[in-house]
Amino acid sequence: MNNLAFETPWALMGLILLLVPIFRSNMRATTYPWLDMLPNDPWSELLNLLIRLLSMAALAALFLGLSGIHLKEQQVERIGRGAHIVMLLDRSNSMDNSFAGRAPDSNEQSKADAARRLLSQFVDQRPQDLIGVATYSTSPLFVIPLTDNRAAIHAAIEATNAPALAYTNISKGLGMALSFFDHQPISGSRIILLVSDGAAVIDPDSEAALRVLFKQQQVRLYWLFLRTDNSPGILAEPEHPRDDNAQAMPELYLHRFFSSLKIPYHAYEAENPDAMQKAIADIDRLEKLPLHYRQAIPKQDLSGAFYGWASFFMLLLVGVKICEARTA
Amino acid sequence: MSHAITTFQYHLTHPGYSVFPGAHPGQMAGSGHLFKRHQLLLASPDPRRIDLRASLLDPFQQYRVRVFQQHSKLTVYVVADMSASMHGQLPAVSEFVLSAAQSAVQMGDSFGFIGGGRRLEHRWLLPAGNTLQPVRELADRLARFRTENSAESLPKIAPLLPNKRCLVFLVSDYHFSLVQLQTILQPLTSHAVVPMVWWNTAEYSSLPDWGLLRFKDAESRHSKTLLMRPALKQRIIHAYANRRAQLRQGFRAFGMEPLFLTDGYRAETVNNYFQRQAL
Repeated sequence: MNNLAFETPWALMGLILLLVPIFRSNMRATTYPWLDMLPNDPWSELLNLLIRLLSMAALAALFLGLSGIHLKEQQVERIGRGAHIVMLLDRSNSMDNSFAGRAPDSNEQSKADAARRLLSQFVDQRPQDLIGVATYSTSPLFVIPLTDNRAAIHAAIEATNAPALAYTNISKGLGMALSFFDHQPISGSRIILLVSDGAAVIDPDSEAALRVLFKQQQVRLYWLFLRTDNSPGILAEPEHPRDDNAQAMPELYLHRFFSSLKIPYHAYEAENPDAMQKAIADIDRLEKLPLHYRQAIPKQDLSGAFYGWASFFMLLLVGVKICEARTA
Repeated sequence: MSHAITTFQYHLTHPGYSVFPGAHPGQMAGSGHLFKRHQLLLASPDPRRIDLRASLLDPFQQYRVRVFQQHSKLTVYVVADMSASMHGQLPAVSEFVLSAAQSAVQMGDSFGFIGGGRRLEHRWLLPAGNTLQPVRELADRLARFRTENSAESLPKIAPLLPNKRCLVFLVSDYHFSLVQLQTILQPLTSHAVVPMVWWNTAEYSSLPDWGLLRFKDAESRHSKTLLMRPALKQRIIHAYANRRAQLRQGFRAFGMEPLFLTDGYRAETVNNYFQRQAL
């Protein structure tokens, strides 16, 4: 019971009054010349004891209620099958285009819409995961930390509905996504799901820092590359050695960088919403390791219940009082 | 006292020893109507009552005088239990005290009162006398008396009574053990004792049939809660009937016949008692 706490502990001093029903009775006493004349009656004695206990219980409930008794916030450890997933969404301008590279018309979906819809479904399919959301554009945007609150995650995914921003700064985004795992127990698998339609050059300093972070956090990386028509894919080899540099083919170089990290890594190249759905189903199937996590149960106010009990006991006592007989 | 004091007739069959003439059979030889014996003129020098026939028949040739039994005066005492348990009965007791005093004065007897509380107190002692005024004052005080003590001084009252046999009304509810009863009655055996057991019907037969009741002992201040129901009420009434039988037995062991009174005082009850008993 060490998680019980009180708002106003000084009201507990009223519990001293619990001694009162032991020494005094709430019933009107009639003077009787000699109690020895009255026969012993076990039922009456039992009832007397009950009335005293009832009075004590009413007092105790009342003062516990006054003292604002409550259960402190508690953590419950749960075991599930799932993962810690950080969704890192690209919010660059190009995400608002369709897979064909145009502004979407009434029949088409933008890449961002498709990603939102599918990620929402993905969240629904994995009820035991802890999921965090971050987005990046020119700078990373912190959206929601790792949580099991589905409504919050859906809201976070919906929040990316706002018009997209400027450029693609993937290294900062990855840095933020990795920081989500700081101070989290290593349990189950840790996944970064990078959803983007393009890549950018990562400067050598960031690259070194990211290498260290990926190693430290033991993260698996899934890259969902939403490929626009006619753009080079992840695996496209340069046709000419002159194009074999990070500026010309950032996707390929990013893929090479991820592959060189020596962490579980998989890239999916999706050219339409269906391919993207398949990629997500793949991830869903793969990432089902047992997961320990703690669920917070919020502080519970018990004073209402205690007031309820107090009034119930008092009602009973009023009933007893009504049953009191009058002597001539 | 607004209403008239009712009186009762009491009489003793056993002769008393009082030297003063009164209304009760005595052992004194004197001017009465009942011939007792012949005596020598020297022993009873009253020449008016010389019995010539007896004197002639006397082989020793002495004058013989008729001697009559003189009715003698009696002292009536009311000894009252002044404990807290008597509280409800005290107004009725004070009425009885007045009635007894009036009756005694009418018969030419003297009346005294002893109240036994925790200690014998001066204010509750009234020496035997012939006047009613002190009794009225005492009865007034008695009706208004409140106490929380027990009657521990009752066994000590015997020295306050006259040596001669007198009529003692011992008024109490007798709510104490039979052993204590014996210690009270033992010193009083030389007197004509009328134990008056005064109970209140509200304490047994007038209890409610149903409901919760809490009783507080008048003397020990302990309390007891009872869930009244007809069966329990019957048990209480039965307990009182048992107690009545026990007390009767206890008194009869000392040659006394108790007088049971409930609620108020009625002089007829006492009259009845004296018509049935020969004290």
